[in-house]
Amino acid sequence: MSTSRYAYLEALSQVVEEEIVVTCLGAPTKLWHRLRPRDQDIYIYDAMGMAIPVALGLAAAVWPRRVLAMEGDGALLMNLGSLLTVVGAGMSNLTILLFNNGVYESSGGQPLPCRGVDFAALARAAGIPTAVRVDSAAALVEAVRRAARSGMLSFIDALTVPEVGPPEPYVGRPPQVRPRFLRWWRGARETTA
Amino acid sequence: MGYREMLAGLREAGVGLLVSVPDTWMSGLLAAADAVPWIRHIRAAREEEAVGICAGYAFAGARPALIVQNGGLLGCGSELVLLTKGYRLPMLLLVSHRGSAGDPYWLHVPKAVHVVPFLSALAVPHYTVAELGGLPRAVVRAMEYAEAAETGVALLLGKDDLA
Repeated sequence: MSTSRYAYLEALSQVVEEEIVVTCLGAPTKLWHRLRPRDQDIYIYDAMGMAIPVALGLAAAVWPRRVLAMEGDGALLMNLGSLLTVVGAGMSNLTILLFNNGVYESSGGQPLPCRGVDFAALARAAGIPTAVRVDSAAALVEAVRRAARSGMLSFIDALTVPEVGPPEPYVGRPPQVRPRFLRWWRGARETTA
Repeated sequence: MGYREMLAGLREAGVGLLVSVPDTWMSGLLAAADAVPWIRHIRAAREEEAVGICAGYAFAGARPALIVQNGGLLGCGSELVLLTKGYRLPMLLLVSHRGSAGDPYWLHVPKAVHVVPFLSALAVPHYTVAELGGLPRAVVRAMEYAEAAETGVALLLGKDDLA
């Protein structure tokens, strides 16, 4: 229960290769850009609750390449129906990684309306039978690898702790993301054609 | 049949993904889209996430179309600004324009009255089918303009456009 989000992301940064990562607003975007800056990733800077929908649309466009969506628990609460939408869409090349810290961290650590939610159970009820909860970096790495091997829609509820501190500035700006991604994606398609 | 011409326009425009939250007027178009193999149809739980799904598709240079009622689009201001405008993502917004002059039902009238100034305030270009030359041409023109302007472009659809 004490694994920091930084520890999760640092471990993930050493194993993610093929997946396209869609980060969510706040620390995941900032930390992922610092730990593993790649043209093939999509950084969501401010649209709270949109990482999963964006990742779903991207997964439809780049199928069968896998897309990994990072989302915070507060952001997921803004768009809880997205769990059912991804199931209904039937995109098997999507992994959802939820950082579950029980607070709205970017705005100062205010508690969520309801704490202690078992998001993995929610995901299973929505129709993602392989949804799991992890509490260590090693378990996260294994879960991400298992998701890629399975070729199935996957959900990982990563328990972590609030890390409220002085705000770190964002690197980059939204208009830079699509041209950079498109250059990479067109090259990647030519390589595999 | 309007919805068949609409579908033909989507094909000609190279649209590969429809993301919908249904409206009565859209039933024929959505059923027809489900019956053809060249377009994927994702049903979204809310209009805001539908904009997000279209945004993800557009990141990869592919062409998405959103299908919503004007009342649903009114709730998408943040996503239209932060995703479509912020990341300069082209997408086609097919909007059933309930409560307009051809649909004088009091329940829907406020949506028609407010959605036009709403889109103008967000600098989202918006047209009627007639303004872009009728169907299927209007769909192609709206999508091409979305690509050129790197934004969402709304096509406001009357009942006859979708009959």
